[in-house]
Amino acid sequence: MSGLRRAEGVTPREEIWRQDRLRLYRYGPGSAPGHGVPLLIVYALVNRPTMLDLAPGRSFIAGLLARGIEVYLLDWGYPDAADRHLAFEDYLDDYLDSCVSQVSARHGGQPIDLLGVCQGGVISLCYAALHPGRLRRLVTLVTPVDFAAGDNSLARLVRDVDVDALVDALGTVPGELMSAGYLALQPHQQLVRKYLAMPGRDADPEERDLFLRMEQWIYDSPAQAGEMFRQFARDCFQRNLLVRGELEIGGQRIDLSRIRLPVLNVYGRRDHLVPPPSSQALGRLLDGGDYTERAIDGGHIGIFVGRRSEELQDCVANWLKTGAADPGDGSGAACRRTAISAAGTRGGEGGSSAA
Amino acid sequence: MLLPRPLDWLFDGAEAGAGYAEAVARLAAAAPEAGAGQILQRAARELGRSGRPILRLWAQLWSLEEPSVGPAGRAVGPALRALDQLSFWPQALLDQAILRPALGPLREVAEGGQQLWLAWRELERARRNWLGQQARVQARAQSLLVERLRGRHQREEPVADLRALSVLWLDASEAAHAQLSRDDGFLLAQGQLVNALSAWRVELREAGDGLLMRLGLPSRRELDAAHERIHRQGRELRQLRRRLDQLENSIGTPVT
Repeated sequence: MSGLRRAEGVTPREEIWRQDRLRLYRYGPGSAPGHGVPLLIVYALVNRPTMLDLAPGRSFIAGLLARGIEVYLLDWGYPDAADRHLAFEDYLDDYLDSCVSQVSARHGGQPIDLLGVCQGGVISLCYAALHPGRLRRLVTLVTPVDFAAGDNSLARLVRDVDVDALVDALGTVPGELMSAGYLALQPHQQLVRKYLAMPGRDADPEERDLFLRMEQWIYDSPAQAGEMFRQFARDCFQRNLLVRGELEIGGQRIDLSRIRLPVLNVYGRRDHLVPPPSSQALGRLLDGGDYTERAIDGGHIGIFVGRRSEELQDCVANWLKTGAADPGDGSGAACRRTAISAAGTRGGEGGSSAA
Repeated sequence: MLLPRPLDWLFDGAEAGAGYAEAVARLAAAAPEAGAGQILQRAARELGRSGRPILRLWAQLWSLEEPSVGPAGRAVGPALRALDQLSFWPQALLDQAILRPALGPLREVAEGGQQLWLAWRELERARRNWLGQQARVQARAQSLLVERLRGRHQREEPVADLRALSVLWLDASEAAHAQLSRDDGFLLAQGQLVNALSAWRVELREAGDGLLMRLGLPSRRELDAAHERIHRQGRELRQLRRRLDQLENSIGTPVT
């Protein structure tokens, strides 16, 4: 159980660039950059990306590497009081744009693939809408698009909160407050019930190790830069501007319907934080491109680290390599492909992995 | 049916335990504005001697009594009790004392104190509303628990041990929370509590900033202003660099 005091990933990586608190990592250090299209992963600001590389055998990143994908990870770091004025446009036009340039430069200056998780998916979508020429393909995982669709517990949580007053009072929003917000969604489960069911001393060591790693990850909540938090909570959760095409970042309107690159959108069927209809809304907005949607049986975190986590790895890796998002066993189970012809008609829904 | 002795009270014709649980649910529903201490006081009066051991456990759980709560609990318990008793204070008298017109050379300090008091009063009101919502959740949870215990009793499925009982209670509590945390009253109370905390924090910071400025130390406000200036200049620098790159690309040679 050594090395568990701090939440760290398990797959070897090297830092290839840094700016302020941000770090850009490349996985599989020592090897020369491959010839394939590199994949840059953008995680949410509200938790640590460790969850994507949580434990041996439960690592989304290791799974992609094993399937031949060249993986880079953008780590936003831990903002502090000095970062309270960082806004959405700084994250998008400065940090993310710089990382895309860095990765692209290492691979001949070509467009790269971008993968966003949850809030990182929203950031990736906004980036794709503003800088379409810099990307080749986009993957969004458990990403909210319509914040009013389905039973959105987080939107309820902030419904009557005066976000401006909160940010003005706190400046940088403490990670503990973020954790408290998540706990408030299922207090009895998260604060008591979970510990009644936790693996005991005589449990399978792997199971116990996974529980402890998950426990560390859950409470490893970075603080949130005030202006970014203000805009995301107010404009996305409260006003639902993204899906209405009215979100403005740095004076530029985000129109998701402008995205023309191929998009794979994956959501969890039992996601209690991002309900499926919230993610599915993306399909209705991308009316001029190649859009593939896939549902995986699991929750917001479970699809990454649950017993069936390989399903997600297969789905993403297959899509990146072949353009098909089926599980790789030829069944095409649970795969829904929405191909859009030049005339703009949709077809091929339900079970087929063919474009 | 043979049942484990410690849990007999829950199953004795489904009356004793249910009676207790329903009494607590009634109390919680009847006192939505009350703090934990007040609920306990009323419960003690209503349940009498037989309910005392259980009430004592509840009091410990809420850190309202000292035994077995450790040093941290011993420190927090009296503070919580004092907080809870605050509602018994004659607020009008306090208002009269604190909110009188501020005069003289310390006028600004006095006005700062008044703002702090008003923010505290609002926070206290919001806290009571929120506790009222929590009491509703607990009351609903108690009803669900009783319902489920009765169901098990009828199906002759005894609760095997305290762990199983805890799980039943937690599941009932989570189900009640899931139901009630969706309604407008709950969301409003939750939002008002956060908003009141924000306002209270602003007033506390203002008071702290005033003191720091008098001591010649950098205040939060000054630090924020400095950070904003640095941030704005960083953004302008980024835009200039981008413009420079565009110029370089347009003429094909580096601009020095």
